[in-house]
Amino acid sequence: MDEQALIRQAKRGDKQSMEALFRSHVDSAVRTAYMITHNWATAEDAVQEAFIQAFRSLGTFQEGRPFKPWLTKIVVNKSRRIWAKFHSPWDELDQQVPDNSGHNLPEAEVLNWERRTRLIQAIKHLGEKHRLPLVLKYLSGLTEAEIGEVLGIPASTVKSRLFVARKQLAQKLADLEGGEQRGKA
Amino acid sequence: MEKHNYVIPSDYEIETALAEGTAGHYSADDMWRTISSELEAAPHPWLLVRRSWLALGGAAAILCLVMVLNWSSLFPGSTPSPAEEPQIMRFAAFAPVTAAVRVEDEELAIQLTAADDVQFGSGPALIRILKPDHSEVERTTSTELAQMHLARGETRTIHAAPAGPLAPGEYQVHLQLELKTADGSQTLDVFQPFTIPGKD
Repeated sequence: MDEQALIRQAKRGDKQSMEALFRSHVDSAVRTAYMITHNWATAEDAVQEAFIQAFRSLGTFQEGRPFKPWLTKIVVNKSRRIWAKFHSPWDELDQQVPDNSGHNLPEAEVLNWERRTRLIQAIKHLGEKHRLPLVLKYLSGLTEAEIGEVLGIPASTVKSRLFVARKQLAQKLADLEGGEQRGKA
Repeated sequence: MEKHNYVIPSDYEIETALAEGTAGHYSADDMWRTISSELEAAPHPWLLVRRSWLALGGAAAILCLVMVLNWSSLFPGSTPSPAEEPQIMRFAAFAPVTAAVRVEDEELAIQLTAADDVQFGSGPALIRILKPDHSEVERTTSTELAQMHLARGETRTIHAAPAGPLAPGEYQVHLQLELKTADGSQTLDVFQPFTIPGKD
């Protein structure tokens, strides 16, 4: 059954259709919420609240429009509210760089893997203004226009924030790499 | 000396880093069980039917209150004696919870103030956003008050995030709260107007 059919059924209160919608969007929703709340437990809470609100407000959802940006906006608002309340630091486990020594990866892959590890740390340390458009584009897979709708800003602003975010990432990666080199010396 | 010349990361690199860096552990089954049980606790149809009667009753009560408070201007010869005034004040302050609404980052922050000690029930609070003609714009719920106790004068803010931005204009928020009383539980309806200002 396609998504619009699921939405029509869910609007009539069909639990199986609601569950199907939940399962197809929960992964992206939890990952997105985590990148806002910094914490897996609160991300789960935010997503649960978001789905409850979404299903209860489904009557106001305009059929034919894409579901994901509508749901993502609710997830983002719930997550931001939780973040504003608790200001949790990033989960401690996520601050640690995983040990890759036992994996016997080829050197090129190890370098790529290390760079990606540094990259996620750099993304986490971007300010929310620049981190959120990046997360919504590359994690949630939204278009710039949809990101604009979710964040309540024009698509042109989204474009410029993404540009600045990538530049800041390059700088942060250079800083992280510089720090590691100084540490080894 | 090895030179590290970092260039702007590619789309693929950012996408992969985010996918790997957010591979967390959560149980979709547990989450669905919670969501499913919350949805089952939604207001029953009888409550929806009763709501129109409550609105009518509420309007009648407000009309009575306005008449009582303006009694002296309506009937100049019948000014209440000082002894009667405290009764009027007690009646006016009867609502156990009052609300104030402000808009923060496209969310409604609804500040509730307890006029007396109140104990909220375990059910979710129903939040409706209405237009001046009472047509419903949005309906959502909040569990932020569940089983909470507010002492007299204490405040608590709950939030409602409309699914889409509200157009500038006049609105009214309708809260339906479950209160625990000595006799069981009762439903309290609170109405509070608010304005979404136009963009300059």
